[in-house]
Amino acid sequence: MRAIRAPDVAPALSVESATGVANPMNGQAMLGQALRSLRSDRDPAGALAILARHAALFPQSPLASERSALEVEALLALGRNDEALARLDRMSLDYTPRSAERHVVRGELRARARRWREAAADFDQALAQVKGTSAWKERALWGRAVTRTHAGDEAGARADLQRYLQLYPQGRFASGAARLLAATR
Amino acid sequence: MRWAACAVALTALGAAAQPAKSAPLVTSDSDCPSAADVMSRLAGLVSGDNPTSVVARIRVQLGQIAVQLAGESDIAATRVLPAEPDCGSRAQSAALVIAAWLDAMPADSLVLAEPVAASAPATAPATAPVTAPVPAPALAPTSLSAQSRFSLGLGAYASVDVRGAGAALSGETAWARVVGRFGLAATLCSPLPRDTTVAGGTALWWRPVLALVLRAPLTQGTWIVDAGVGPVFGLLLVSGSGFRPNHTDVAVSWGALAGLRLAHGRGHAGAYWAELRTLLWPAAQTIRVTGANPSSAALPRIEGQLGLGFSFGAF
Repeated sequence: MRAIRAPDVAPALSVESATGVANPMNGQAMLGQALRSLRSDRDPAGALAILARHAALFPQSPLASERSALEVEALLALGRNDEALARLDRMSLDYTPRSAERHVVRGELRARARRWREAAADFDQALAQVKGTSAWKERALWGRAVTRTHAGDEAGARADLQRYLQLYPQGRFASGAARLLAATR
Repeated sequence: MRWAACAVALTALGAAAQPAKSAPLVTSDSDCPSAADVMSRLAGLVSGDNPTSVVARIRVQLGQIAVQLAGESDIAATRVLPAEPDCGSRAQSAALVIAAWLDAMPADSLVLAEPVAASAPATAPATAPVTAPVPAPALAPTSLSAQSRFSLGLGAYASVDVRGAGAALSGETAWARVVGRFGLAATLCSPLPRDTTVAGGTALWWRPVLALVLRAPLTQGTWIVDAGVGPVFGLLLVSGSGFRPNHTDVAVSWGALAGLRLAHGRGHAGAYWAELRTLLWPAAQTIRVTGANPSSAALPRIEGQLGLGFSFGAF
């Protein structure tokens, strides 16, 4: 395990209090409200509105990273994938919790946007970090095979597909992977 | 660290008993905040059917709270926050951090390919509490070596050179990713015939070209910038008018083409593009009028062309 100091550790809460611009307790309450709206009420649009207000009132909040994560979650729930990708593009994912999973999602969104090299880099990161043979690793392997194929890296794509079939012989993409490999023999 | 004083809370969140896998395990080396306080605040922030489980370890030191989160399939990462004076606010901050990173990311791949087999995979993740709408299958490698790479393109160009302006129509056959990311294109470009006044007569000339272009994409995404360079074979046909007698002649020449293309991909449907390119003719070509009053006119050796077009097929 490694402990990483997050970049936004500046005591912004006390600044907010001192300036009287906003009460930090209200900032916590707003994030809590956004979380409840998103998770309990299943109202991502409402959560986004609360998060936007939070960003306006507390632009330097030490919980800004959490706010960004919630914005991405809400945008994905609304199907606004392009905006979610724009948010993820601005986020540094390397030292965040569940970094590998987030790299997989960003890689998939970048692949949908045909940004093959960037997508491959995300899948590389995810595969370097993810443990075991989880569903996230399965997605990262398949995603990288797809991006490598589109990027013209046939050898790399073939290696990923072979590894995929070794690890996930009954996986959701197994039939497609087997068919692709067979077609090239 | 005072791990002896560490409080451990592992309870189902809320009154309802939820699957144990969804309850974060929270530890704290301090009683300000205590693990129990953080857990009680988490209850209202985390869904019972959270798709992932984490271990959250809270440490308080030097005016900061460090919240270390370790997921079931990920390495641990730590968020560090300034410690507020009161314990309740600290507990709330820690709870918000834990809850926020337990977000529901799309449970299904956004890079789905072929129709998924009817049987669900054993490794499929559980449904997320706030499920993102799964987009339609979008991108897939249809095959590796047989992946669609071939395209046919048509374009119209406006050209300019020292003898004035002109226009040209162009057709191309392209193979993407022939070697790595490099592709090849064969282009046949037919300009409209031009005329040049020489010694009181008119020389009508037409120089269609066949180019073999090595292409390399400089960017990726929906908008692609593509650079191309390659040799050009030109066939020059000249016909006199107003001379006594009029003659016609044919000549060949070699040149080079270099260009930049901005394309907007439409997946396998093809791509719209705009291209700026230049044609260079190293060897001079001259129209000569012989006789009592000999004269000549040099043909352009550099041509600039700006074109718009569409390519059908994979781009």
